[in-house]
Amino acid sequence: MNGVARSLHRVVLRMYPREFRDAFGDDMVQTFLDRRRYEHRSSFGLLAAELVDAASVAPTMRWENPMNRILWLASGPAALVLVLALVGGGPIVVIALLGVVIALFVVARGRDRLDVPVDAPRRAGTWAVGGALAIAVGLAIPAIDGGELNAFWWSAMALSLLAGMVLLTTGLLLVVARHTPRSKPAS
Amino acid sequence: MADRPDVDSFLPLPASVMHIVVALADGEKHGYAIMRDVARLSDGSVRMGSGTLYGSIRRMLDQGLIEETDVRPDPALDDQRRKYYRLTELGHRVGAAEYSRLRALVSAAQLRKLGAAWGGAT
Repeated sequence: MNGVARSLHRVVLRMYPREFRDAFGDDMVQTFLDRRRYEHRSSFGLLAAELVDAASVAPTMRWENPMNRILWLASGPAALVLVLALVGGGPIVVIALLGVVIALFVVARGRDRLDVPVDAPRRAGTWAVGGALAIAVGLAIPAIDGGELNAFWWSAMALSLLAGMVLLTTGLLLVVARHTPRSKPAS
Repeated sequence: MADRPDVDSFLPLPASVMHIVVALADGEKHGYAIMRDVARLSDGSVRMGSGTLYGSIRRMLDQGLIEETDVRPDPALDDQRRKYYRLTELGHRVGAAEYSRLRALVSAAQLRKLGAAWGGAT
């Protein structure tokens, strides 16, 4: 039971930003074990209390990350644009926008979980160029195939556009992300 | 003197921070000891979760109100991996200023017999 409770507690701790977990995660686990031991409380009762506490505290901590603020503020309008694109722009526009949305989440999650690599600008440039090439290939496919796309070529075009948009947007965002101030980790 | 932070700029302290300041007023403690002390001093009415506790601790570390310490009250009884915290000189001064502020507020409430009409202590 001890192992199961610890594992579940680790899951609850994942609600907090990585920087906070790195600084205080071990102490929070120790405190959880202390409460079980000295207060004679059930693991699941304590887990429920920790979950409620995390639900009230963790969003504020994540809000401190500027990239998360941008993502959360942009998620509503982004969903609206995707719906409008699906209705009025057709599948290619939706694929392109989906690529941008995926790239936004990749960058935001990457900033939260990993540090932005030191050589991010050089790598970002390579990704952006690769993305542009993939988009060019995707747009060229209808011309190669004479405009009549079977399922195979349509899938290839969609995949190229999606991958291209993800790479291009990720590359551009990495440069921006590297110059965005991070919330200070506790010492 | 010019680079000393203005104590008044920290006031009023959030309730969770003041509870931690009071818990640490008599010496260094680790996280669970702070949590237990806060519950004891408030007769069980304030029970901090670990997120609230360590979120406040992080803020207090950033503000220089507390610091980590290697001092162990009784090393034989404790796990060396635990982190202990203690008030800094700034933390003591801010805690004292908040205490004065709260005491003045309580005095004003007593003068106006707040609570008497509801059967509370005056």
